Amino acid sequence: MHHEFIRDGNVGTLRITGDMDIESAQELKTVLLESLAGVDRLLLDMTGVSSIHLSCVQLLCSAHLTATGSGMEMSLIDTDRGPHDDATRYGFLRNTGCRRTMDGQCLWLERTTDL
Amino acid sequence: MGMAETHREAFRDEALELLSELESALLELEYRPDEQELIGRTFRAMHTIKGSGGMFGFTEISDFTHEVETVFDLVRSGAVAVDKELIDLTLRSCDLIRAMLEGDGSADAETRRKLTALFRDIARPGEPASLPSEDSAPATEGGSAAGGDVERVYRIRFIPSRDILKTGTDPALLLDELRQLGSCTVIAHPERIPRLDELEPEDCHTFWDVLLTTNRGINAIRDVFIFVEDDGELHIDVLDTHVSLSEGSTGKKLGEILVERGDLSSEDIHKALSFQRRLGELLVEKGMASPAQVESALVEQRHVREVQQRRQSNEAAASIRVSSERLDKLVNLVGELVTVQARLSMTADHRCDPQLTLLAEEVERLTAELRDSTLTLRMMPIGGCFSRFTRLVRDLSGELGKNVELVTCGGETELDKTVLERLNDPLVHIIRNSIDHGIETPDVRLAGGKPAQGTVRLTAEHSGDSVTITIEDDGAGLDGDAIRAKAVDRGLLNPSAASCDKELFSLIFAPGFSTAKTVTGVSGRGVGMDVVKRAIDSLRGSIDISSRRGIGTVITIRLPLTLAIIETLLVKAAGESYVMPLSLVEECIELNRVDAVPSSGNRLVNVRGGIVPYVSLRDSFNLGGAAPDIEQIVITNLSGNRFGIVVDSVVGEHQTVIKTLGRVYRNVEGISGATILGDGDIALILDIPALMGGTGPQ
Repeated sequence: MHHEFIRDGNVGTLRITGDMDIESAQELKTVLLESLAGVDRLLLDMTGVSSIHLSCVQLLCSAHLTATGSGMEMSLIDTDRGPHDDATRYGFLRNTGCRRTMDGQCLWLERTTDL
Repeated sequence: MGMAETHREAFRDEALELLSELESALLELEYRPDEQELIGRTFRAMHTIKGSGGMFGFTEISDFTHEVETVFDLVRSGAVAVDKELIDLTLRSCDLIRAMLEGDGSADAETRRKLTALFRDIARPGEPASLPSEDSAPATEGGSAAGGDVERVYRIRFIPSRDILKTGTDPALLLDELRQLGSCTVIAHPERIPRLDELEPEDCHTFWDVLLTTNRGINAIRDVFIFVEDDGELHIDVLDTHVSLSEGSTGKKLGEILVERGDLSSEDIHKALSFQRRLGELLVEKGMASPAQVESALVEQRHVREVQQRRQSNEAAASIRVSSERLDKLVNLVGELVTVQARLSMTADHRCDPQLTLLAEEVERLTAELRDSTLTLRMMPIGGCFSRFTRLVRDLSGELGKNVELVTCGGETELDKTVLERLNDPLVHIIRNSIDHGIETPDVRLAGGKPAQGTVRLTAEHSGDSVTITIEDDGAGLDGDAIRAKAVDRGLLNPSAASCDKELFSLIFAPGFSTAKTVTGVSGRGVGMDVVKRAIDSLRGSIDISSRRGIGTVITIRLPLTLAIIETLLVKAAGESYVMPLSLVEECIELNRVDAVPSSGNRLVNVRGGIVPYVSLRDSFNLGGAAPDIEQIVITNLSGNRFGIVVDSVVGEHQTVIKTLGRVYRNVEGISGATILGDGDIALILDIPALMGGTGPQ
């Protein structure tokens, strides 16, 4: 896994590429914690990710929960690609947003649903 | 017949079909013992017989099959290997189950106990095999849910151990395995994922609900989790069975699912419902359920509904089982209708009423369609008949110390059910003869430069309005000299007469004719080929034989597609009506006395340079009166042999509903049945092969 963080004012963009495997999980946690510090909005660019392990899916969910809990925004760029395939494989793809996050959104949101 | 007995009958029919399927799977398994698909087929057939047997009160069958199934479950898991002994034992079990189904005396308790003990010994080697007593209580396992075949919807909640990822297990692989079992919806629950600073990256904080629709049974699902189940939690519930899904319910409501899962109590649901708003929305808004829980339940609801809809549409298109008696009755009624329609057409012709003629033509068209559709209902693939012979060949080969392979081709060829049923015995005779007299022992074959394994090839194919079945072996072939000697000895052949191979070989169809020096339990008594000939004749078919010494023998049987309604040619002789199968008619010509070739006692006619033998119907049946000045000769062709039948006049084509003759007339040679004409008169159906053989009454 490789990563690059670009900050533009209060908006940060974290670009991740390669395999997000379990060996990268600890590193990803650190990167996410650092990226979230000092920005109001974090954009995740994962278009260069080839695979994503459950440990990293959990980390992204957790980062989203943490970010929205602190009044920040966090979203995926170009969400129709890569990460969604693995998230779907793990059963994370959602019709509804996450109740636990303050914005009621979800990184793995597929479409809005009629309850 | 009461409902219960109807169900039992249906079970018998189904179980007999399953046994055929089982037998064919076993015979294939003998050659490919490691093929999982075959092992699965065997297991599923056993499992269905067991489950359905128990359901319909055949507890003895259910109990016995359970023992066999247990062994094949071990085969499935690789704990027991498939070998010839197991195949032999299981084939014997098939025979026993068949006998039990048919109430045959051979299904004695002793055989059952012995086989049960043998299977238990395989399942639990080393343990003393306790023989079941005759009145032992049914030992059916409580899990119709435990096994496969019936499609069910399962809800699987999998809460893995927190350390699962550290052991190198990727839950994605487990989920993929579940997806391979059937239609699968996976819902991950992220509720337990903590905030980032509290999260241990290599721990698993997720659990899953999976909705799986499969016919593989609960054990197959458990197998997926076999290495992780002990460290985590696994709950598998059957949401709905095929039966409840088929009863027209629209699936469970959201509240019912949440209560069933233990996510909410009934009280919570009732309370929420009192707000008269959409339940899911309400539950989320009131914080009583998380969106993930609601969504998971909604997904489940949707999954079950989709399965239900799919099944309903499948079931609407699926086949239904109708008793053959009902089909026979339908065919008889259609036969009557065809007769009445012929009368209607004739009446319309006589009255010269255009409107009536139009109506009669319309009825004729519809009747023809109805006739064809009805007859199609009775058509069955010959493959079912063929598959039974695989077992026959296997058993006979073993018995005679030969190595014989049966190759079948054209199993999808369809024939009328009655024809198929009556074809079985003749084919058994022929195959027995091929193996006993035709195929040589492996050492003889090797010495003769042939492969040790002999081949019997069974082929069926459509040919116009008939089906041709060939039985071909690569054995020693017929011994023409031995046949000639035997025929001369029995006075069937003049020692000085020259006869071609075809004529010579046809002698083996004579009653009691056998050249075998020894009589085996299989054949050699001379009882067989004459029976075969008679059976094929009674099916309005023909049989032909060709053989080359040292190369092999080919027996060709040609059969009509159906025995119920056939197209015929209607002719008249001495004021009487006769019909003959149109498929055999080649042409009709006037009998010119000049063309008739005088011969010593034989009647021959010159048809465009070819000499064709003929008989006069008037003479054959001793019909009175003088023949008209100009007679007609109908040239028929049976297996390449042309033969003429002289009649007074040819009326034309006729759709003939075949009626069998009563017992008194059944043995009258030259006549194979009767039919009712449009004017109510009776026409006899000519038995061309019998007339051709000169066996008609003179």
